[in-house]
Amino acid sequence: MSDKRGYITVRCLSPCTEGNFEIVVLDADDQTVFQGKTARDGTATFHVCSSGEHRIRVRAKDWLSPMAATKWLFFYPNRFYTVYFLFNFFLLKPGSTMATFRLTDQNYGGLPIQKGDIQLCRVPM
Amino acid sequence: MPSPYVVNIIDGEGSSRILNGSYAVTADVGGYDNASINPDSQVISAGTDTYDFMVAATGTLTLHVTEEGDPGGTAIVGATFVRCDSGNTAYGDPIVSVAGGNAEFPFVPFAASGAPTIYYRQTLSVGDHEFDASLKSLTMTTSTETVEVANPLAALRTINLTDANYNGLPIETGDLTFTAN
Repeated sequence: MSDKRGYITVRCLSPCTEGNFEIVVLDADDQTVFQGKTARDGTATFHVCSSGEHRIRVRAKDWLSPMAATKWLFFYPNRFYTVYFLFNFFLLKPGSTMATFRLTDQNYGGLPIQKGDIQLCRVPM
Repeated sequence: MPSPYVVNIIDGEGSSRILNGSYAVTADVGGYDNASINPDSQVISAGTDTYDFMVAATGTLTLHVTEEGDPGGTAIVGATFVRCDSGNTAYGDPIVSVAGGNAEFPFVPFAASGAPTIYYRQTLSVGDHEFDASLKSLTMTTSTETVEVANPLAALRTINLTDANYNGLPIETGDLTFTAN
């Protein structure tokens, strides 16, 4: 068994100075072998034990283009890899809507909820 | 403001300027089952300015109706209540007390702290029983709570009927009918 430990470095390049990207790495059997986030500089380094073909999915948390990207990598455990992803601002920034949200009680039709929060997290279309 | 957007809801409504797109929706509402938010995903698009969501609670409020307002009192069957908001507007189906005098509001909010106020009022009783129709309120800290409600028998009243032209002359026999307004 080799004493060398291979690893993958993902570098996400973007105009954002504080970019933060979500990473998922899947092996050939669609099993997740790594899940995490980049540091604020857009870089993440991690070990992967399994060899063979892997898919590296990266999702931008801010409004960047593309919103998500995938690269395929044939991985040997005793080697080092650096994979680059390039993001940019949308050429056409998505429009915004001044929206009103109404929250009522499901079992008492129309009864307004007195106070609370609704949180909306963007997901890829 | 970038995603995630947090929209503060007061009296059932909140507003925010949000970029068009697809969103996963979660709720943080005291006293309610936040996992019940419906819908849990929403597409925000130009031309649609209002979005409706619902949440559900899992508590039960029992109103125990007796003539005396005591746990061991004489049960009243048929007393009717309705849930309201703080402005006395009614919502949902009325509930009616059954054998044993219990009427139950299902799916009401509760929490050890931070639960919203529950408003309700009585709209009917039965027979010769009086009731208080004013708006009542409470906050539930446990999933089931019971409130004792008194619907006492109406007081015995004496009605006098005399001749309008012969002061004090009692009418020998007859009936008076009183219809509630």
